[in-house]
Amino acid sequence: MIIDLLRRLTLGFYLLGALALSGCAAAQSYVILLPQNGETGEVTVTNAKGSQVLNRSWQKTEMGEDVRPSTPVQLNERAVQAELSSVLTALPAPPVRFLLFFPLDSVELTPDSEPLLPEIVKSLKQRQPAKISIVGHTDTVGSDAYNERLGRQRAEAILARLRSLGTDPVLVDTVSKGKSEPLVSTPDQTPEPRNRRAEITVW
Amino acid sequence: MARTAIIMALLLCWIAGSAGAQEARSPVGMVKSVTGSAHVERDGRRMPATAGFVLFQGDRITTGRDASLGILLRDETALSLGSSTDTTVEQFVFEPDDNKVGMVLRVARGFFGYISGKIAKLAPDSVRIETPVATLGVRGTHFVARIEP
Repeated sequence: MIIDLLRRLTLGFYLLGALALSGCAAAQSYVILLPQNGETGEVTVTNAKGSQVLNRSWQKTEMGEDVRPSTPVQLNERAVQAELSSVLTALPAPPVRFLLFFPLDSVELTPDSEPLLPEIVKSLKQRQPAKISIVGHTDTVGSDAYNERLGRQRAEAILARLRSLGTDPVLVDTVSKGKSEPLVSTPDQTPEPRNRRAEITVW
Repeated sequence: MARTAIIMALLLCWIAGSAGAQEARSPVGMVKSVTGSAHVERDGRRMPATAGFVLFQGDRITTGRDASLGILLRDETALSLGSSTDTTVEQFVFEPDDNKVGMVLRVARGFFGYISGKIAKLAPDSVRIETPVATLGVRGTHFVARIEP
C-alpha cells in the first residue's frame, strides 16, 4: 500500500519534471523578421536588460523577462517555414487594387472603366468579410473646395453602385483627396483625364 | 409633474450621451478569418470571434488551443494570431487627414504574425507592440513573434 503510494508519487515527480523541461524548451520568446514584397523593414526589440535591432530578413532574436534580447542570428528560411506556417497562413491575403476614371466634372464612370465594376463586385464577394477603401481624386480644374467635394462625391457614387450590385463590405472607408494628389502633375486649372479617378482597394 | 420632467430630461441626456459615445467609437478593424475557438472581450463581455466581427479599441482577442485568427485593421495592418494567444488593441488612432496616427498592441502571450499598414508608413515611431518580455518598435515591416512569459 505504502510502496504503491510511493511509486505513484515518484511517477508524479517524473511527470512534473518532464513537464517542466518541455515547458522550458517551448517557453522561449523570439521575434523573426520576414521579407515583405522584396523589402525588409526594421523591428527594435527592447526590454529592461537591453535592445536589439532586426533589419535583415530571417534574422531572429530571443528574449525573456529578465533576459536581454540576444544578438540576432540569421536563420535558414526553409528550416523555420514549417514552424511559422500556422501564423503565416492565417494572415489576410494581400489586397486587390482597381483604378477607375471619370469624365470631366462627372461622378459617372468612363466607358473604359465601366466594365471594371463587375470585377470589383466579384472580388468583394470572394473576399467576404471584405474591407474596401475608395479614394476619390480630381484634376486641377476648379477650386480646392470644389474638388474636395467632387472627389468625395466620386468615392460615394462608386460605393453606392457597388452596394446596389449586392455587395456588403464590413469595413468601408471613403476619402477625398480633391486635386491634392494628382497621378500626373499638371499646372493648376488643367483638365487631365488620368487625374479624374478613384483608387479602390479590396481586402 | 416637475419630477417627471426632470426624469425625462435626465433620460434624454443619457440617450444623447450614449449615442455620442457610440459615434466617437469607430471600428479599428475586423476579424477576417477564424479556425477553431476564439473570443473577443469587451467591457466585461466575452463574445465568440467570428469572421466579420468588427473590432474596437480596447478589445481583447484570445484564441484557444489549435485556433488561429486573421485580423485586418482599418489602416491595412494585417495580423494573425496562432493558438493560445492573448492580445489587446490598447490604442488605435488613424486620422491621417488630421495627422493623428498611432497604434499600441499588447500581446500577453502567444504566437502572432504582423504586416504593417499605413500607420507605420506615416509615422514609423508610432507603432508599438508591448509584451511581458519586451517592447517591439515596428518600422514598416513583416515579422512573427512568439511570446512566452
